[in-house]
Parts: sequence; structure tokens; C-alpha cells
Amino acid sequence: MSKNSVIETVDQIATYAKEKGIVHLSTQDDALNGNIIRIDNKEVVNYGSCSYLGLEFHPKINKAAKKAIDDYGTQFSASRAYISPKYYDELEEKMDEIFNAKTIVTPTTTLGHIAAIPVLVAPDDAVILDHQVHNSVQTAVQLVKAKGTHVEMIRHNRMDMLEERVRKLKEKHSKIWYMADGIYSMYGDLTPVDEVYELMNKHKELYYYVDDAHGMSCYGKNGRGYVLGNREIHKKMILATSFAKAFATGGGLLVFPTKELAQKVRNCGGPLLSSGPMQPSALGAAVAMADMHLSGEIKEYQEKLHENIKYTNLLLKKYGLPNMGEPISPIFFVAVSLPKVGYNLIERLLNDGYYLNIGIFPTVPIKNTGVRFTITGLHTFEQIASMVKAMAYHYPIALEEEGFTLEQVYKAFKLGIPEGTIGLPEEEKSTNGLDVLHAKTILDVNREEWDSLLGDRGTYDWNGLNVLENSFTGNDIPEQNWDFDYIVIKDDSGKPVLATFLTAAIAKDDMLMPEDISIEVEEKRKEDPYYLTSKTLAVGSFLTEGYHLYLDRTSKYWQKAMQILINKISELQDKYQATTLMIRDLDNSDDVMDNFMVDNGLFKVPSPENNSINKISWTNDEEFLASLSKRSKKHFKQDVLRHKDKFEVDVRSDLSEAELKHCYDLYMNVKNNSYGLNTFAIPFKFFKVIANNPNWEIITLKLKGAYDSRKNRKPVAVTFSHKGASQYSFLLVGIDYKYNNDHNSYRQAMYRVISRAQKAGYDKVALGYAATTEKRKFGATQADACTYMQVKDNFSLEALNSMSTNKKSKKEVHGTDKGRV
Amino acid sequence: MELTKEEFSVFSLKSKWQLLKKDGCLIKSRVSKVEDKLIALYKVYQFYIEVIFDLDDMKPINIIPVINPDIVRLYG
Repeated sequence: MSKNSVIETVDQIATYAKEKGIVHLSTQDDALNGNIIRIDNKEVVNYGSCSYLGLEFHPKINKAAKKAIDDYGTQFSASRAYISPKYYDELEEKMDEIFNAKTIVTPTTTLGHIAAIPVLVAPDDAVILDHQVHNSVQTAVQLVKAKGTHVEMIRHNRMDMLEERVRKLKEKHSKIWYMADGIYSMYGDLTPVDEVYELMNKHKELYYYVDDAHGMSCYGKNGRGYVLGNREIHKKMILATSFAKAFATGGGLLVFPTKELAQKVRNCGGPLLSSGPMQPSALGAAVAMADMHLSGEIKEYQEKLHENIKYTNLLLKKYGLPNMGEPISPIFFVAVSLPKVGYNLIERLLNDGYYLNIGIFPTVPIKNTGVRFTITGLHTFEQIASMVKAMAYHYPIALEEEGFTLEQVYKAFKLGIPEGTIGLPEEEKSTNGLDVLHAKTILDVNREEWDSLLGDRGTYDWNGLNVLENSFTGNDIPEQNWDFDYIVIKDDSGKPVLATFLTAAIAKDDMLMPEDISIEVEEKRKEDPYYLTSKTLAVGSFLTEGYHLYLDRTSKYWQKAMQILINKISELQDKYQATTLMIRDLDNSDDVMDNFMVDNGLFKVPSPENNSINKISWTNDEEFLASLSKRSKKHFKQDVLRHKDKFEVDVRSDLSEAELKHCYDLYMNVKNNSYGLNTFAIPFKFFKVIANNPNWEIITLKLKGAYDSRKNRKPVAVTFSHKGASQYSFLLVGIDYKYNNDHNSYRQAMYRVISRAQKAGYDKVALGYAATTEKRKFGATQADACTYMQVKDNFSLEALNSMSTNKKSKKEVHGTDKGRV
Repeated sequence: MELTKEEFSVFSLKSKWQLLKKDGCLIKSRVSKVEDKLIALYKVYQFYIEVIFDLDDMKPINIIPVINPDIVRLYG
């Protein structure tokens, strides 16, 4: 999935949630009353506040804020590089005392990261991001990445992985920064501070940059936070924290092990030089709040919060709600798995007077959606008890309404299913009275019926699938063994409503990522061939193209049939332990389907451009030329017709093993030179199977003797195509690059495929993915198709996105680049 | 949702008092002349609790789950 696709997906999910009325809300109160807020003319208890100690209305703080406005006005507008209002000195002195370390106050925590990280991290350092470290840290890291710092990501809180990477990276880097959160903002889980300290003591190269925004004030002596609550700052550590949560004033703070380091950031940190300071009101309030921390007054509020946390945990447990949070954290996350269940539950709770948040992609994997809520010192036991009770009441109803079970939720979160949890009976859950055929081989599917539904769409007619099964089973290499599943759903009259096939296989997670990222990943795969690969369950297969889903949208059962398919897919995902699911290809402009998919936790990404010539209306080169655009005409004359007579072209059905091996080598040339769609290599067995199959055609292109001085002239290009009932489908190409520049053999191969389709009487020729610009020159158009995806684990996606930003987008390499296709 | 005696016991004095006010029911009370304290018996969830108040400001100073099943009879 490309970066743009991530943005599109987030936009899609946020828009949908906004339409549901659960995000981008506004309060309507003229004046707040504790933790009660008014939304849509309804008073609700706020369970979304990060002001964990509930001090935002504390008289001392409010008074100090008002006095600061009276004394200094609404702002003191000058860069801190020149002059700061007096409050800064007061506040930093007090914060130094609280942390027993040198501190710098920043306007926000995010600006603190942007000030500190580029000063602390050198281009020859390495950064290891925890998978779930806050977005603001990741944003600041982009600045050092742009200067060449090596950046990578490890799985969340995996200290074994951290140590392994430190051991490796210290060969090249003298400083390795591990960046993490103190308390993570979604699940409320914690960084393993003691273990990181241990590793820092063990490896002199390891440094720790930790954001304890959610821990500040809530824990430790004088409210030092979770991370430094009961320990001193490590000499190789920087702590960033926030005044905009429990501290209740706004602002941020950086804590340093030495004065020198603090001064360096103060001198050189971008936002500390050129951005505005905190407002006097916030500074005045912060000074008063720091006094409350130092005097110990904060302890009473901490105790109240911790009692509330304890009570909430107890009730969640007693009601059997699947809470993913840590026992000491004010952030709670009740697992619901699918977004549609989350939306349903949050709407129900909002109607009952409780405002909670949804935790959804991209902050968590889409199938690990949950209801996220926070507990503060302002909540009463009555409020907590009534909210948890309401949640326990609505939770099973929301699940049932959305056709989901508690068992499925537990599975999605890899939790042990508690005793007594009863899911819906299999039959009731899956079939809804429709007739479902689930076959493991195409041999068990009625050939005539399959071909009538999907036979004219590409290479996956009955025969084509038989070829795939024979090619992708029983191989030695894991990625060359696929699992096949066929689903046909019929209505009560026996009429098919839905038909499709699925394959489960190991795939490269960077398959659709920009080319240079794939090249970087392939370097790592030299050491670990399965680095960033995952088991993928796909509607269709990696070797077939087109609309793989037959769905009769005129049937009144189509949505039921789709739900059955989704449930089947979910079962198959568990069975195959597939972390990625792809449903391809579907109409990109189908809003009804789009809503259905989002409800079921699938998000849309663009399918790779699939090229085809849908109507061959010409009978010779002149007519073909006439059918092209002005620019393409020029290309056709110069790059195709000019070279036409150089080639000997044969449609081969009698290739010897050695000849076929040569053709395979040509295919591997292309495979190894193209990361546009980075897939695993296709086994030789597949080529052997299709070489002897009457539904497939192999076209070889040899250069005539005048252009090829080799004694044994061998093909310089080869194409492999499928002959369907009404469509000729070009699937693979092989090229000898040595001859491509001078003779344009790739373009010649394309031309020969199209000519062959025309001569064989086909109206339509499918030209496959990639090389769209080249294929356009032959008059190809692109289907407006999309793929729906579900990634159980965001790690690969984010690890790929954390790789260098200086990457070129997927570019086409066919035809125009020197020496390569 | 009812708590067990053990679950109730993990809370601070303040929280116990909050829980008693929310979910408990005053059964009887007596004054201990020896200790100069008011002792009140509450029933909460499925067990009894004794709350000891300071007579001066009537604030609870201790909240103790009762083990003796005949406690109500002892209050007379």
C-alpha cells in the first residue's frame, strides 16, 4: 500500500466515522460543568478527556492564569532566542526540581520533539522506532531521516528485537536511539523502562528518547510521570512530556541528563529559535501547577485517579468486557474488532449519555478496532459504574446487530476465549439459508457453471484454475505453494448469486510500495528471504487479473451472499494464519459496496492499473495505426514498425525443455529487474504446465541473422498468454536486455501479442498490470478498479512507510530505460 | 455490579466510603464509650461493614469488613 493509499484510507474511515456522528464533534456548552458536556443537544459524561487529574478548573490554576493575563496580556510575542517572559525561568526552575534534571519548556510536546530530535540525532546515528510510538515523534524523525539518518521500526515493546537490532546496528552506528512512549495512547500500555535501562547499561551505543505525555502528573513523587516516577533520568536518555494532559495547562517539556545537552537544544532547536512562546496565561497556570506538584498537593488527586482506575478495571473484569488496557493506566480499550461494531456500540452509549472514543485504523490495525475511553479524577464511582453497566448491556447487542460474535473478537485480538462464551451456531452464522458450496479444488466445481459465471474474465476459467492448482502445489519452496478455495453461493431457486475463488500464499509486503523501497527491502531479504513477507489471502491470485468476483447485484440476496463470503474469508484467514486479506478487483465507484466493506473492516486501495484493449476493430497495421492517437502513431512507427522485419516470430507449442528453460531465464530477467509489482518468482513448473496446454500460447521472438551474430540464435523475447472464450490474456513477458535497446524487443513483443489476438479472432486482449505508459501507446485503456484490504498487523505497513522518504514512486522500466525492461 | 469482600478491601478509605454511600445500606449504629467513636454497621453487596466515625467531625476513620456472621445480633 503506497503512502497516498494510507492517506486515502484514513480519509475514507474518518469521513465514514464523521457521517456516523462519532468523530469531529463539538461541544455546545457555554460553560462546562465538570465532566458533563453537551453534544447534539444532549448532556453526556465525557470519557474522552486526557485531563486525567481533572484540574482544569482548579481555583489556584485558574487564578494564576487570569493574573498572568492581567500582568502580561494575552501574549508575549517574541522568539525565546531573544527574550522570554519571566514565567519561563520560574517554571523551568521548578520543573528542574521536580525532575532533578535540567528541563526546557516548549510550546507543545510536538514542537519539543521537533526542537530536540534534529539536534540530538546526527546523520550517522540510527533511530529505532517502536511500532506504536506517537505520531508526533515519528513526524520529528522525518526531519533527521531527510538528512540521511538510518531509521527503522521494531515491533511494539519487543526488547529482544531491540537488542538484536542494536547488536547489528552498532557495527555501523555509534549512537542508536530507541524512541518510545511512556504510556501508549491507544491501548494504554507501558514502555518497559527497567528493561530499556538494562539494555542501555549493556550497550553503550543505545540511547532512549521517550515521550511520557500520558504519564505526566499522574504518577510518581511530585507527579514526575510514569517513566521517571520512581527512578532518576538515565545519562543516555531524553524525556519529553506534556503539560496538556493531566498537568492541565498546555505546553510541553523536555528533560535532559545534562545541562550542556539542554543548552545545545535550547541554542539550536528550530522551534525554540523561530516559533512563538507559550502564552502568559498558560505559563502562569503552569507555574502554579508546578507549585502544586512540588508541595505534594498533587498526591491527593493522583490517589483519586488511581482509585477510579482500579474501580473501572474491576467492573470491566466482572462484566467480562475484553479490556486491553494495563491495570494502572487511565486509558482503556475495549476490543470490538470490526469498525461497524465499534460505531454501533459508541452510538448506543452516546444515546445513553456516555461519550467515548473509537480506536480505529491507522492507530490500530483495522480488525483490532476498539472502544477507547479515559478515566479521570473527575469521574465519580456512580458515573463509572453506570457507564460500564451500559457498555456491558449494549456490547452483545451491538455484536449481534452487526452479525459478529464475542468469539470472533477474542480471535481477532488473539485472546484466550473465556469459558462459557458461546458463538452463533456455524450454520446460522454463515449461510442465512442460502446454498453455499465451498470447494478446495476446481475439480469439485461444476465446470460449465463456473465458466458461465467467470470463464470469460481472464485466465481463471475452469481450465486456467486447474493449471494454477497443478503449478502451485507440491513445490519445495514455501511461496510457490498456494491454498485454493472456491465459493459458489446460490439462492433458494438454485440461481448463483456469488462465485469467486481465493488463494492463500506468502507475499511480499512491499508488493505495491515504491520501487526504491522494494530495492531496499530486497537487500535485507538477501539475509532473510522472508523479511517483511506475510501470508496473504486474496480473492483471485497473484497471477490472475480482472474482476474475480461474480456477484449478481440484481439478486435480493447479494448482500447476504457477500456477508457469507466475508465470514468464510474470516474463517479461512484463521485457518491459514493469513495476516493480510485482499479482495480484488472491484468497481472503484461503487459506494454501496464501499460502505459494506468499511463496515466489515476492509479499506480501499487502488488496484494496480490493469490494461486492456477492449475492442479490436482493425485488421492490418495501417488500420491499427489509424486507430491510435497522434502521439502513439509516432511511437508505433518509430519503435514498432521500424523494427518489425528484424524479428522471426513463432507461436510455439513444441518447445523442448532446454528452449523452455531459456524462455524462463528471459522471464527471470524481467522479474529481477522490475520491482514495480514486487512478487515472488513464478516456479518453472508453471511454465512447463502451460507449455503443454492448448489454452495457452507461447510466442517467441528471435532476431534475424543480420541482427544477431550468435551461432545459436535464441529468442530475445517471449510472451506467455492465455486463450479464453472471448478474451486473449497476455500474462508474462521475458526479455534479453542486451537486445532491447537497439531493437525494442519489449515493444515488439507487445505488438506481436496484440496482433496474435487479432489474428486469432479475439475482440478483446488483456495486457495485464504495470508498464501502463507503454501499453497506452498501443491503445490500451485502464480499468477503474480497486482492491479492499485488511491488515491484521500494521507493523509491516508502518515499517515500510518508515523507510526513506527520498524514494521515487513506482516507475515504469519497460522500453525506455537504458539496458533494462 | 456487586463486589466481593476481597475486592472491596483493595480500595482506600475514601473510596470505600464512596462505595458504601453508593451501594451500601446503614443497618444499625452504636457509640463506643471506650473508644469515644461512633461505629455504624452497613450492609453492602453480600457482606457487612463496620464504619468507625470520629465523633468530633463525624468523618469515617476506618472501614472494616466484618467476619462474624452474627454481627447484626451483637448490635442488639
